[in-house]
Parts: sequence; C-alpha cells; structure tokens
Amino acid sequence: MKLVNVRLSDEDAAKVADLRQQGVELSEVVREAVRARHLALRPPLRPGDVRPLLDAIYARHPLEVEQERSTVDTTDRRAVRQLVRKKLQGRRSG
Amino acid sequence: MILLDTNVLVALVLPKDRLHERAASDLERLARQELRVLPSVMTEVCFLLDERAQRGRLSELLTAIRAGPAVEPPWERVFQWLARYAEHEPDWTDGCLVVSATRDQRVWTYDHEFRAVWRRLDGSRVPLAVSQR
Repeated sequence: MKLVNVRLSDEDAAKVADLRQQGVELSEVVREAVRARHLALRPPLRPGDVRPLLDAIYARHPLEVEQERSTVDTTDRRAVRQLVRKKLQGRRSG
Repeated sequence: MILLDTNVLVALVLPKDRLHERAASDLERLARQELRVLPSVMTEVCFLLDERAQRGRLSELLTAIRAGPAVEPPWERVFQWLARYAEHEPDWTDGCLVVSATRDQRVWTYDHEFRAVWRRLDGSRVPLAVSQR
C-alpha cells in the first residue's frame, strides 16, 4: 500500500480536525475522493460498446452451467428474501 | 443519475437470465448516464451472485459502466416508507430505492411494483429510468 502526503491550508486542516473529532477516518475520505475522480476521468460508455464489453467480461469469467441462471426470480421480492434468509441460516448453523 | 436495482445487475451478469436481453438493450440506451448502486442493492446482488466467477463479472461490469456507490437515504425516512406499505411486505432495498428516487435520480428496475404499487413519501410516482412491460 502506498502512502500519500497531502499539504493542507489552515482552513482545510481545521475541517480535517472536525472530521476526525466526529470519528471520520480521513484515509477513507481520500480513497473515496480518488475513486470518484478516477471514475470521472474515464470516457463514458457508448451504446455500441455495450454488447462487446459484456461478451468480453463473460469470456474472462466463464461460469459453470448451473451458475448461468439465477436460482430465483429476481423481480419476486419474497423469493429473493427467502434465498437471503436461507443463506444466512446456513451461515449461522455452519 | 440512475439507481440500479438488484434485478438489473443480476440480468447483466447472467446472459441466460430471462431479463438479460432487456437489461442489455436498456444499458445501450442508458450507457452515458451516471449510474449508482445503493449498498443494500449490492448486498442483495452478492447474495444472488455468490460464485467467484459471477462476482468477477459483477466487479468488472461495475467498473466498465462506471457505476459508483450511492449514498443510502436517511433511515428514518426509509422506516416511514416501509411502515406505510407494510401490508405489501416491502424490503429495506425497496424502501431505499423509493426514498432515494427523484426526478434527477431515477430508478432502473424491472419490478412492476415500483410502477403499480409504490409511491414516494409525498404520494408521487417513483421516477423510473425504463418503461416496464
């Protein structure tokens, strides 16, 4: 992991002190800001890119036959809830 | 800004999902929009996509479509909404999506209840990013 030093004005340093006092982890604030700015740098996806992009992702991560479909209807809230509950119960009893 | 629902992400990751074609077509149309995912949606998606390769696809997809995390709405408002619709047994994720929805922050979902049943706290329709069939 790399360490990054940042110079702050007195005003920003005071804000950092306030954030720390509120229990905010400054390193996480910086990481989030970096990720958001980095996302904004990338050119937006064009409609024509979508299918080739999806195909490339599928090719890089092949699935077993039984993994290719969702085991529940994802628009059925109760079915999704049942699946989540089952998995949580399995985790607790395991 | 567009908030993605669980069914959209699962459909985009699994090409044999019954909603896949629709989701891929809608992504072509919405590709240039700013896409966001709520933490509760991501939790549901990871329960549904629990295999390593499925999550590998999900991770790459989110990066490729430049989807970032959305900020969860105030819990108080979500609980207020859940209480209003208690008879329909909505989930936390439904509440977060509806409460977060605004004209500038539409919901991309294939769950018909967002059109037919749910309303925002002010009684207005939930602004949706896609038409529902």
